[in-house]
Amino acid sequence: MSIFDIIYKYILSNGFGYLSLPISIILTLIIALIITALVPLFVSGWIERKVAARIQSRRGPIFAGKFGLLQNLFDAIKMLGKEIIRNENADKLFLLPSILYGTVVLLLFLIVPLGNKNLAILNVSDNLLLTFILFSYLGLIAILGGIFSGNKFASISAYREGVKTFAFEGIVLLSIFMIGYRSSFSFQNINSVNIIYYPLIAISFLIGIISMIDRGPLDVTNAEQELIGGWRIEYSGLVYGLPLLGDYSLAFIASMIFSILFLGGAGSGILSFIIFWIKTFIIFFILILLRWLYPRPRIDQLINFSWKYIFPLTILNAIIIWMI
Amino acid sequence: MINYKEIKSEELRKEAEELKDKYFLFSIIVVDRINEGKFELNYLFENKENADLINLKTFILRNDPKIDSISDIFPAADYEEREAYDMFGIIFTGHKNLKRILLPEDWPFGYPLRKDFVINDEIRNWTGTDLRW
Amino acid sequence: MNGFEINVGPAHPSTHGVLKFKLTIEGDTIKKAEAEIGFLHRGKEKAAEDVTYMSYLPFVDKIEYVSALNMELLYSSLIEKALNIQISERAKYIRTIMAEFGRIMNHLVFLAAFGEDLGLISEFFWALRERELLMDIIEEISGGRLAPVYIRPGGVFFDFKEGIENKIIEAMEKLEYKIKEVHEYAIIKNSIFKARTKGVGILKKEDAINLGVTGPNARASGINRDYRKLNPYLIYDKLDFKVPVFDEGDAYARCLVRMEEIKESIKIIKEATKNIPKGDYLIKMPWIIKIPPAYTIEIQETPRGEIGMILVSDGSERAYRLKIRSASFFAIKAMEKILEGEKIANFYPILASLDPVMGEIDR
Repeated sequence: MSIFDIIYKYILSNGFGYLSLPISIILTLIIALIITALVPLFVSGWIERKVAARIQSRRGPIFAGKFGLLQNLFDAIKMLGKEIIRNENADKLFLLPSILYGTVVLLLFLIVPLGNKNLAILNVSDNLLLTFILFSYLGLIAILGGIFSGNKFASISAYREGVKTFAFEGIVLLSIFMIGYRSSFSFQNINSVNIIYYPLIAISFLIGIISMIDRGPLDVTNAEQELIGGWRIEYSGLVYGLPLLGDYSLAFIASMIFSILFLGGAGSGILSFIIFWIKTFIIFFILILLRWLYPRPRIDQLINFSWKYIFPLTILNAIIIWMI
Repeated sequence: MINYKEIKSEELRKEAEELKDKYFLFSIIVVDRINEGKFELNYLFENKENADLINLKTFILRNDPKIDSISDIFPAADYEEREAYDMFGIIFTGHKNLKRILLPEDWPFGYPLRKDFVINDEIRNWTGTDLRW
Repeated sequence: MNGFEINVGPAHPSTHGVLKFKLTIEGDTIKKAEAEIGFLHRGKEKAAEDVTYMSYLPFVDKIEYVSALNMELLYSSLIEKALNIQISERAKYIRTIMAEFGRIMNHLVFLAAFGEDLGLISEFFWALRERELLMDIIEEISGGRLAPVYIRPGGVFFDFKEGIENKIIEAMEKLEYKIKEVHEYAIIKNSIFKARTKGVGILKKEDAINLGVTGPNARASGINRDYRKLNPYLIYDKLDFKVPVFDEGDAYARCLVRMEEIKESIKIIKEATKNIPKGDYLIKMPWIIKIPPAYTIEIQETPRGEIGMILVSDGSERAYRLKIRSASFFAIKAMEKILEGEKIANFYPILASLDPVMGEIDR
């Protein structure tokens, strides 16, 4: 069961005949677009800005709307009005990576269950593997964006992104396989609280996913201070706003996935709906703290850390559980 | 404690070689004595252990300002000599990289800190020939 | 990629001003580095030949805008030395307290920029929050927050009011607590921080002294040299403070030297505030003064190193030549030498740990 199924059944039962399939597809897409736009603007963007401001002894947005809720919306509107400039060295397709980034975020919102196991927008089998493939697309998009931009700093960033893929993607894939092998490869069927059996794999999954979505202390490729934005240097206007909002959404999606995989999956009923969102917000809060309280390691220190310390922990945990 | 010593401009490298072990170059001060037609150069050295200063004063002619460079003996002289060239037009022979340091490299109006440099409206409205970052 | 040239351009996202480096990189290592300065050249030395001595005071504290009180102190001491004036004891104590305030403010800005360059943006806000404590006190004393024209030839312009000493000591207690609890934990004991700055950007001892590097950068390379102890001015010979010296010469040592200096400055301020003598605070000087022909040299230990001002006067009411020897000028030359063979990812921590201020380099 998914949101698409609910809408289709409702429209079919109201006697639209053969038109009900296209109508329900269009309605589902509209709902998906609204959720994709709403979450980074009002939910995760607002929480992140207020919590980060309180860590830094200031208050965050307070003027736009009550408690600053409309601040991100006004920022997005301002960004729509800026001119899109193209470098003369850039490729013809140089706007493509940014649009692909927004598409990946939209696809992720389509398949992850939003609180209840019947509330995913589309019910695809083997959700977990599809999510991992979409996350690894983010790395490829960053490399493409760096190469297409025609800027030396963007090329350095593309080179660093290729190196960083080598660091953490294998570990995240390994963790996903462990969970999938034990429970199931689709979100709707994971029911056990896996963090009790796999505590070390939970930690390595969290660090790996922070690195894959280019966030927090592990964002060596689009480091704001060092590389002035990495592969996003040459973008302006709408194509700059899409990855920016995508950053806020991806952290939220990552915390949803973590709470499904490790903290007891998405059940059914009102009580588990509320508990699911409480768990998600706690993990999101931890991600915010990690971003604003730690400096950034260097790229070779990152690879060192992942293959010398994180990888053996993962293997150790898998072997212990397999023995028992 | 400050020691003042006046030398000829040809003896500069010999005096600098003697000071190399115990002193480091603090600064090079150029004064434009336009009434006598000379540039006065003061090389100020400071002791590495305590705060003693040695000041070597030489004079070079204003029409043809040339002197030997000491940037291979004292590496600190590299930027100071470039600044003296930039502001006064003194050529330091033997310097590897003598080009303007504080003003843009295509500054067409001469040497600003000389006493006969007058700031007129053309200089005030100059914006630069090309802006290549 | 053989000899790939890249410009770390004049507009930085970090707070070091306009400084341009042309790096020749191969793979991930830097083969050659060349600095270009002069984007902030304002002609301060030429302006000194145009305005009279006392009117030059507002120019002086914009030369090095981060710790402006130290530059004012240097210029006022230069004028007093040229005219052979002795100032009163009370003025000397007040001037020492203001100079040490300037030192703490400068090192707090160093911490802010350093933390931000490594990715910890929150450090910028925390260090500037501590700086507000000091700026409130300076505003109460002198009327200006960052560059008050407060230290003038002859003494200081306003007197300390009643009750300001207690406020100073209270602020120092708060600052000491914050430095120990927040900044040391966030910076010194953080393992990612140590991993990024230990062994990075080593400046050897012989290179440092031959290149003319003085101040905290030299003290982190093992050179035990502090001008306040070698040739004491103001009341530094009566005070009891230590000079921190480390041997490694890497970026971590430069950071540690400045943290220790903040603590020593807090000690100096507390001791000096308790013992201020009574007396006169300003010797009234006329607005137009004439200095007889002489060659005057004044060197002082500012938070960046030894800055010297040399005045060539000719008996008129304007200077004939004023030369400012700045300390970061030589640190940029040292940086060209440090960067050979370093990784490109280490560029920003090394630049941040040398603490250059472009206003003083370009004048």
